[in-house]
Amino acid sequence: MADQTILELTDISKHFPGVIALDRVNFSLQKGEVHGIVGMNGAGKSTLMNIIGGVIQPDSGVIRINGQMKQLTNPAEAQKLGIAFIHQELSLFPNLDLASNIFIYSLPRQLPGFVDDRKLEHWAQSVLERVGLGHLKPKQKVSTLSPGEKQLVEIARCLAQEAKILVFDEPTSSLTGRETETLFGIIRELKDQDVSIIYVSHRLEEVFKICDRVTVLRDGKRVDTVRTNAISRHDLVKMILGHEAADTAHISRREFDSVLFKAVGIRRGAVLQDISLEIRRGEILGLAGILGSGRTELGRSLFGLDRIDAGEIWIDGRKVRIRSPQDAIKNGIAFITENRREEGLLANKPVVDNIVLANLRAYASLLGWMHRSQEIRAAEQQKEKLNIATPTVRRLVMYLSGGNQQKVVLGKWLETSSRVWIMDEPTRGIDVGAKEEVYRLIRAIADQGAAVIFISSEISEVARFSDRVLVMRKGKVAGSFEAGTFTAESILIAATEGVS
Amino acid sequence: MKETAAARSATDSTSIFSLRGTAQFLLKYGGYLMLLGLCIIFALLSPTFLTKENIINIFLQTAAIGLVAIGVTFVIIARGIDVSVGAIVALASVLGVGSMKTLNLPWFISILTILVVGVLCGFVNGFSSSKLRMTSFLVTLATLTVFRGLVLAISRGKGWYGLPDFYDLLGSGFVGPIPNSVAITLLGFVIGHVLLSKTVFGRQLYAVGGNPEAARIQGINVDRIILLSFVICGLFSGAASLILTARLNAFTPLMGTGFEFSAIAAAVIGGVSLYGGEGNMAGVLVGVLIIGVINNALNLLSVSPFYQDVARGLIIYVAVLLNTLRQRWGR
Amino acid sequence: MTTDRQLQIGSQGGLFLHQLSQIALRYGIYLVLLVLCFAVGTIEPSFFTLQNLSTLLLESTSVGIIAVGMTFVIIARGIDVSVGAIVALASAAGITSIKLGGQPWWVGVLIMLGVGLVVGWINGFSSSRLGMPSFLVTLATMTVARGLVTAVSGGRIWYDLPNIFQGLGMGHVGPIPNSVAIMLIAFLVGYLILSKTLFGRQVYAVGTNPDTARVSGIDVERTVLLTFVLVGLLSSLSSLVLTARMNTFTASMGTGYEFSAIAAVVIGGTSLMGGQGNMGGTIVGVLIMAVINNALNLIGVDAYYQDIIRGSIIFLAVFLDAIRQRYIESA
Repeated sequence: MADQTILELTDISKHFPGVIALDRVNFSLQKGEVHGIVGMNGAGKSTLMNIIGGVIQPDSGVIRINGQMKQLTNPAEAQKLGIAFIHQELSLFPNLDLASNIFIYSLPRQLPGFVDDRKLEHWAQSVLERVGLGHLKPKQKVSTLSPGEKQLVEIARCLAQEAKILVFDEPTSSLTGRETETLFGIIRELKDQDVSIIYVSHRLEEVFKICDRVTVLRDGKRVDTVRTNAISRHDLVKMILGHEAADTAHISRREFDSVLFKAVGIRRGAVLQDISLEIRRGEILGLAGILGSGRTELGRSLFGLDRIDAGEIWIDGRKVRIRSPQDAIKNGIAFITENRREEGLLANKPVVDNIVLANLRAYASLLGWMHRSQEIRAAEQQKEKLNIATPTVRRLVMYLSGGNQQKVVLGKWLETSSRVWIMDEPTRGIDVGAKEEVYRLIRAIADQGAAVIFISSEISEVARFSDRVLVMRKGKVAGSFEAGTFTAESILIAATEGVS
Repeated sequence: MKETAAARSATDSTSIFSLRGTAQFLLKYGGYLMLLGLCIIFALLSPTFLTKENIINIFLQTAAIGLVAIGVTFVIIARGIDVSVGAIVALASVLGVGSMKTLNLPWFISILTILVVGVLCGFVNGFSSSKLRMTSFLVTLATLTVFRGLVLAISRGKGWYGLPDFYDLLGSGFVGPIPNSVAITLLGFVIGHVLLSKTVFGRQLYAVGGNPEAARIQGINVDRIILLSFVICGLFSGAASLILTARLNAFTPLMGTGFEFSAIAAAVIGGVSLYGGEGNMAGVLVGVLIIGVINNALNLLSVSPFYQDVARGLIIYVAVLLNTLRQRWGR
Repeated sequence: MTTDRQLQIGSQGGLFLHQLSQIALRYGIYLVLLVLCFAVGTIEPSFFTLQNLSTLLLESTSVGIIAVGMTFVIIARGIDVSVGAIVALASAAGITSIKLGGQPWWVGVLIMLGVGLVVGWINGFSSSRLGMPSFLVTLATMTVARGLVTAVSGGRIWYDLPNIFQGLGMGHVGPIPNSVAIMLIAFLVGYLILSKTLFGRQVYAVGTNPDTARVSGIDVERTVLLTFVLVGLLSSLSSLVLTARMNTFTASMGTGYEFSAIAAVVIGGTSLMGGQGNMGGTIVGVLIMAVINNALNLIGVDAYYQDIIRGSIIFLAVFLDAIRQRYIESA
């Protein structure tokens, strides 16, 4: 048939130190098509999107737009060629009106320097109508809109810049059910207007609903591209996880002791709705769920970083008050944050300073005098125990690889002798070898009688590693799996079932 | 992190609506209410407050600060700050008047000098804060010292009095029922309003202040916008210097002292957010009037100048506090 | 998910270069001080006389003591421009209580220390728990304090203070004048607290990354509060030493101290971005500022020009810091 391919990627490969992000991936996008991209974290989705968006360059491979070979050397180039991104973090200006936000890149002018407001309003009106926001006044300030409406304004801006290819990255995570439906309606209309859409998401039911075709990535390779009406969810899940992983049931080999940690009725606005859980000594409780499900919020709330509206926490049968990280640490709770760079490490300080950070008092005498030699000794012990690859503990943490940095974070919390561990994405951004080491360390921590909450968006990881799994969806507990009764597939389905 | 940001906004939207509604109303119209309230209080405290004479006085005394406040608003919207504005007023005046007195230059050259000095000072501030990537607070704190030092060095601590006719005209003349200086300030507000709301520059200014990263991505030259905001601030400070010199019919070494406080306080009270991206001329006008009313009342009630400093400091403190709280809870 | 790459500066070559630049940054200022001394000594030979050098040291004590505290504040990502005003206010309150209120000397001293404590606490509380920007808070408290100075002292200048003050001011510990000894002790104690105690670690952690510090169980707000209280107390101490040394109180005491202190700290290697810096560097910075001041006096530079030079130095210091930061970022 006449070539309707608007974007074609052929044999795209991309390496980063220690990891192959994309391995000869082929991808094609038809005019007026909604093409979904799915895959686990680390499968290569972000890398592929960044290449399409001109943020990074492929090591090899060819990109064709409308049949012509193109180099997407930077985002501006990509934009000129009609590719636009709708990001999670919106790039709107809260205090400007809708019209100015949409056309900020090229405002219609009257006399030199003056804005032709009437023309601007007119232009804005027509673009807003294209995205179903025709009922809004172009003169309204963006700050008055809901997240869903803001996202539609972002789309409007892309359309105003005559984008022919829109890339959505997890667009519905902050939308209500109704807003999601509206978004889908707009997407369908855009299709009719010959706009092509790439839809990256973990929410499989959405992918089935709105996408014509879907491409599955796994470990940097393209597994397959299929029409969504020609495959079952079950088979899609199998493709995402890889056949063996999906079927492998997790067989727990452990008998567990008494309950060490219990949370009852945790509530925080609409983000956490009446969450309860309990963990026994030596147990690893996996907390699964996709973006927006509230897992990180739960972790932060249990650690006292965020204030809760209601709920109780019990440790070893005793009720405790956790109002701040100090309270948590005093009660033996540790928290490994999902972003070690922002909240886990002091980047331009030495390894030793980082390792002792959560337990400084232990190295201080009564007057507050620090015993540096003790600190260094402790740091060196951790370095040995955790096999942290660094010539000395005085080296600045920012020079270590991701895996070793994560070990430093682990070392920090090991110094506190915590018995309850909350870990949020502990293996994010580290290579396969280091991942295995980290798994072993976590298992060792649990085996010594600690209770571990293991939060991860990598379903296969959660399945392989946890003794029990709790699945969260939109702030509620959506599923609970006892040892021996879950597979990666069943977890994924529970995490993505249903929209509202 | 993305998850948390999204979740946070979800939490906020379910807070108690009526309480937030009242708070938002207060934040929006608080300025006008405060002005009204203050006028009533002062009218009760001092019988001469509401006389026609005094009201004109208020406008006269506040005119210069008003122009400075307009200029500072541009800088603050772009997420900067300028505490050297008072010093710019003095420096522009000493160079403008001095050049006229000592070099016998015609009056229109001296006026031009005053404005040009303002622009140049603004340029120095702006260039350092944008291209050189220095923190605007410390830059303008440094330039404040240097400019004041220059004023003292050039004038050797003495003032110049008795300026030629034009200044006299500017200082005591009227446009209809309105004194010249007030008219110029009002003109300044109109120009400021037009710049902010009707020009491309204005839109880009709000963009840079509201979301600098996104502004850069959308192709806005962020450095240039910041530079321009400081230049405009310098220009308006120059204009303030002009009308102040005219009204005093002199240059005095200490002129402009404390203007930065009053101007910043006026802007902040008027709704300009210290976090950038927010504010409009109408609000600043109200803020300036509030500052003017307070200053005037303190004089009428014979409060010593030292307590006036105390009052000025307290006002800035409260203004910043309210702005900070608004940032935390407002949305 | 390649956030790691942003954190990694992997190669060996990069490491070496970084270590080299760290050394250069840290010890380069000693070189600057040496070069400066020789330059001044060449222009003005009387620089190297014992009398001049001891005068130099003596005059550095006022700013030096404050700089110890300022180091803590800036490392913790704050700034305090009210220190000069605290010096004046502390002296005003203390001396007035003695001279007018008839209080014994130790009550006066307690009041002086109390002033620094209270103002420091207000600054710290506003900057940490209330979340207000510290530069504006301390700007406000500075204005209020300056206004209060004259209010409290009634505009008078006090001479002829009780013997104990004169003893403190004129006395020696061995060959070292009391005030210099106090400054050295302040530096020593400051150094010990900053580098060797728990609190010092917390300050560095908070300044490097407040979020990480919070997650790791450090009370970020309390730490910031304490840095401001510390600098407030040290400002009071400086006031005590200055008042004793001069045997007077005047309302203009402490003018410009905030600049000199901030410049000294920044020149000494403490970054305005926070988390970096040390007492050794601050000492060198204080000495550099003292040498410059001394040189200006020796060479006979007009008092009027000194402000200009002071402001330019601060400007340079901030400029150098900005370059330093850019260099570190791009590495």
